[in-house]
Formats: sequence, structure tokens, C-alpha cells
Amino acid sequence: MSTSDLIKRAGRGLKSAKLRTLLTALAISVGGFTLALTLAASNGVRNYTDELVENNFDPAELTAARDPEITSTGGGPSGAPQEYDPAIGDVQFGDGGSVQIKQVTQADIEILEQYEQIEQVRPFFTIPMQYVTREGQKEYTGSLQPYSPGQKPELVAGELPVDNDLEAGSIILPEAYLELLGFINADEAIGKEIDISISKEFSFDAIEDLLSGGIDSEDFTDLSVDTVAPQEKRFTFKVSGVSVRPATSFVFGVLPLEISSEDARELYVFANEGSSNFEKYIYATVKVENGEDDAVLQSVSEQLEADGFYVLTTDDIQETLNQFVDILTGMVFALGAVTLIASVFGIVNTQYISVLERTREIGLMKALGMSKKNISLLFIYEAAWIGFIGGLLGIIGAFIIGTILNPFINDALNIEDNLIVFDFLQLLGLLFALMLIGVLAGLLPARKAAKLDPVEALRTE
Amino acid sequence: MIEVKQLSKVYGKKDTAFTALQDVSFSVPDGSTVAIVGKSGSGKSTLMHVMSGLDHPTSGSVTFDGKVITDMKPKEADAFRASEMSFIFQAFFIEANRTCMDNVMLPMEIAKTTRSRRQQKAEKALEAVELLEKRDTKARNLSGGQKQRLAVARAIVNEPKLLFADEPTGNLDSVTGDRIVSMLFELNKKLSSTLIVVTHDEELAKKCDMRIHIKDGKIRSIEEPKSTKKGGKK
Repeated sequence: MSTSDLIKRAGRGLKSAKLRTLLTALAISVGGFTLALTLAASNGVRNYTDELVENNFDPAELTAARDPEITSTGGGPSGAPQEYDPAIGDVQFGDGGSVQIKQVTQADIEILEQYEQIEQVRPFFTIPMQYVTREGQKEYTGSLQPYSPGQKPELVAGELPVDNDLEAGSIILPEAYLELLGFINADEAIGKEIDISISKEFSFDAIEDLLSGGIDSEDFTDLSVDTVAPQEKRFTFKVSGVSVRPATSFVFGVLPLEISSEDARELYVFANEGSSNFEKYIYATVKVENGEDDAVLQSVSEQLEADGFYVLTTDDIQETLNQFVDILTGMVFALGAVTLIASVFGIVNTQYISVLERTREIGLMKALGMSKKNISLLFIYEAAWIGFIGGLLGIIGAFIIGTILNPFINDALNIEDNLIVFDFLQLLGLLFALMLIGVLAGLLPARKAAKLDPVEALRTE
Repeated sequence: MIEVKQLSKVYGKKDTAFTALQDVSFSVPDGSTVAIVGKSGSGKSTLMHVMSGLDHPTSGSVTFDGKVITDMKPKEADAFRASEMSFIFQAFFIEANRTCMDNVMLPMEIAKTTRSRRQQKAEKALEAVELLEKRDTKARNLSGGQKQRLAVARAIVNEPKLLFADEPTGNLDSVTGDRIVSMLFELNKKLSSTLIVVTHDEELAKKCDMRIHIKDGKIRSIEEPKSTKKGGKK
């Protein structure tokens, strides 16, 4: 019997027990559905993270740190205390906690700047901003950070600088502030001046300065009121752009105001000079010349490591993100696989019953000269058909559900690209795998059919 | 020419041994009709199974056109059955959920008849049993007589040289049964094949050229009408 005849006959055999075939196929379709949707979601999330990394990081940039914790991806704190180093400083968390980190010092920055291949070094620092305001307007909270060419903001008005930095004195204002600061629209804000207030923490340096100048009792009263209280200073900037949150942004909450690194540095010095954390940075971002070339980036990163830096590349970040995606995908995939195992028993059971029911038919086929091999194949193809039908149902179901869900997900997450992305080849592979599972499940019953004694099967009495 | 030589078949071993066939020998000329007559349990079905290669004898041999069926490997025997033999059973054994056409197609698929010839041959076979208009009807919707006619169509579609009919009228009323029998004999003559009918029905047996009476696994008598020694004509 030819293969195509066997496959057709197997299909017709199933047709004569439609309900049973459908129910058995439904069991496998649940697994197929889960796997198809998981694969599609994993595709979408991977696209999303790729875009996220692409939009938020410059592939030519490296993150250089002195503490391995900063650049370790997914490792978590090592737990072991390390030897004290003056470069170790407290890094405060928003929740009031802090952790000791070996920081990048000004000397380190100078080392980095001496590299020929390094175009720009931008230490990461925080500027304790108090509020932003405009003449005649109220004061509003916010955060301030130096402009980073790797994370170009999305502008609704104004223009991004052509080179790596903003012009000194200019600021990028998030859209959220427009109305608050009395602007009618984004275009109107361009070129207008706004004020940022920075506070300086109480520092002993200030007292020392005063003390060195000699004091009398009157000064002392001044000291207790003015010097010990935090100082405050307003800086004026000109709005050069209005930013909106891109679909793929790592920043949650209100977007930061962005200023040039030169200005950021000035503000940083004002706010932190004299404190124990002054000129200590958690990490520095390094822009490598021709760093888009992986080989160049790799060689610089190796040199930095030789100099005792811990280095994180965009690829590392992407890898970390993908690792999360992989773990999640793996977990859902495992669930789908478990349902498949359950459906395998369903197919085995159905096919066994089918063999028993069709004892006579099998006997007849043997009498008519059908070989054991072909009898076995007939039942294996039947099982493959069940796998195929179940797989197809599951995949079509997943496709429909995914297509329905996509707009809702996009709406909820405020993204443009679909998070459930079906790949035709992948689905074809899945379908094939499900058929293979059907075949595996059909092996035992098929063997039973092949071994059936025709004489016994054809006995009428 | 079919030659059965000293055929024995013993089921089980030692104490539980049961002799189904004992030293059975006879020969059947090509194109003749033969009845193997006996009561149930006489060994007549076993004889049919061994002759067709479905079962193996304990000793002895069956030769068909010079080929020793009893010496064939399972694969050879399968191929031989597919091309040279066919069967009709008392309980029809047609596939009830399939169409008449589909039922008739089965032996041709097994015998690997070229696809282009199948349709034509199947139609011819259905026509011969007057079932052509039922070609797309499911077999379960046929009457008993129609079912057996379908089984006949399936049996003759490959134009076998040897046709076994195991109690072909056992499940049918006498009128329908007679019709089937005359149809069977007519087709056999047309195809000039050898027909072996296994039956306990003396009436049916009388219609055959040759009668082999069997009892307790042994041949009791062989009736061979003088007029039909070798030609197979009535």
C-alpha cells in the first residue's frame, strides 16, 4: 500500500469516528494553543526588549564601574563583605535604605579620559533638585539628569543637538510641565526661560570656611541660622526641547528634565562639594569611537577590564533582559508541555480502543494481503492525523485569541508594536512537533494492531 | 492447480493439544468450484486459513501454481494473497462507515494497483454485483444481501485466481442467498478463477464441481464428478 493511500485511508478511518477524533484532538490542541501563544508572546516581548534596548542605549557606549555589583547582570549582591576602600560610598535608595558601593572616583574618570578610543566620559551623578518653576508660576517637583546621547528623548517640539551634548544653558522639558508652568503648547515653550532650584546639603566645609576667616560671637549666631541650614540656589535655563515618553522607555513616573553635562557638572559641584560622596560616581558611561563595531567595543572593554573596571555593554543588558524573557517563556512552555503529556495518554487510549473495535477490519486487511508494517503505519498515520488536527485547532485558536488580544495589550501598555507576534515557520515547526507527538503516542496501539492474529480476528463463531 | 499435501494442524502442546487438521491431501484443478463441507468445528475454516497462508500448518504443504504457499515468509505470503487471492465471509466484514466505493478500493490499494485504473476497475466490480448506483452510499445503509454483494465486488475487483467464500450465505435468507450464490458462480466462470466455498450447507455444496467432506480434521470423502475432471465446466 502506498504512503499516500495509507494516509488517506487513515484520515477516512478517523472521519468515521468524528466525535471521538475531535475530542482526542482537543486534548492536544490545548497544549498546542499554549505553546503557540507562548512562542508568539516570546517573539513579541523579544522584539519589545530589543527595541527597548535600542532606544535607551547607544550600542557604542559602555558602562564602566569599580564595583562588580553594578555591572553584574542578574547575579545579585555577592553577600561577602569587602575590604574598605576610600572609594566606597553609600548609595541611597528611594526607600531610605542604602548600600555600600565602590564608586568611580575623579581619578578613575581621568584614567578613562586618557583612552584614545574613548570619545566621551559621562560620570553618572544625581543632582538633588528641589523644584522647577517659571516666573509667576508655582514650584513643582522633578528630577534632573545630564543629557545622554544614548537615550535620546522623543521631542514634540524643539530639536535635539547634533553632537553628543546639549548646548550649555539649555534644558529639555517634559511635556507634563507645560500646562503647570503656564505654557499653552509645546512650541510656545521653546526658547523660554525656566528656573531650577538646587539645594546644598549642610557641610562642614562651609563651617570650616567661616572658621578659618575668624569669628566672633555675632558671626556665630549667623552661622547657626544660615550656614547650617541647607543652601538654595536658582539656576536659569532656556527650554530647547519638549520631551514625551517614548513607547519603549525605562523611566517610570515623570520624565526627568535634561541639561547639558557641563551644566549638570556645575550643579553637581554646587550641591555636593564638601560631602563625603563628592566626586564619587556609581558608574560612568563611556562612548567609544566606532563602538558600533563589536570588535572595537570588545577590545576597549577588555582594556578597561585590565585596568580594573567592571564593564557592561548594551549586549550584556540585552542578554539580561532576554534571560528574563527566556525564563518566563520556559515556564509557560513547560506548562504547555505538561498538557501535551496528558494528551499523549489520551491518544494512546483512543487508539487502543480503536484497535480493539476494529479487530475484524484489521483481520480483513491482513487476509487481503496487507503487511504488518502497513497495518502499523495505518494506525500511526491516524495518530499523526489526530496530532495534526489538534495542533491546527490549537494554533488557529491561539492565532485568533492573540489577534484579538493584541490591541488591548497595546492599549494597556501604551505601546505601538504588537506583543504577540506569530511566526509562520515557528508555527509550522510546532505543528510538525505535535504530529510527531501523535506518532509517538500511536506507536504502541499500532504495534498491537500489527501483531493481531488474523485467524483469530476473522473467526465468526 | 492447487495441491494440498499431508496437511496437519495441531493447536496447543502435549496435554492440551488439539488436532484441527490431520493428514489432509487433495488437489483442485484450475477454474473449478470446490466445496469444503463439514459441521462447525470440523476443521474446514482452519483448512481455508492454512490454504490461504493466513495460518501455518504444523506439517504438510500447500502449492498453488507451483508456488509453495506454506513455505513463504509472511511478507511474501501477504503480497501473494494481495495479488492472487480473495475472501468472502459469512459476516461480510465490510467497513460499515465507509462508502461502497471506498470498500472496493481497499484490495486495490493493498495490491498497489495503479491509481488510474482503480476507478474503472472498482466501477466494473460494483456493476457486476449491481451496486453501481450505491457507489457513494455508506455500507451500513445497505441491506444484508447488498452488503454481501459489496463483499463479492470487493473480492473480485482484483480478479483473483483463487476466491475463498466462508459460509457466504450463512447470514442471508434463502432467496437472497441463492442470488448471491448464482452471482458468485457466474463471476467465477467469467474470471475463470478457482472458487473454494467453505460451508455446512449441502444444498450449496451440490452446486460445486467438487466436494470435500471433512470431519474431525480428516477428509471423509472427496466427490469429483466425472464430467468435470479438469476443465472446471459444469
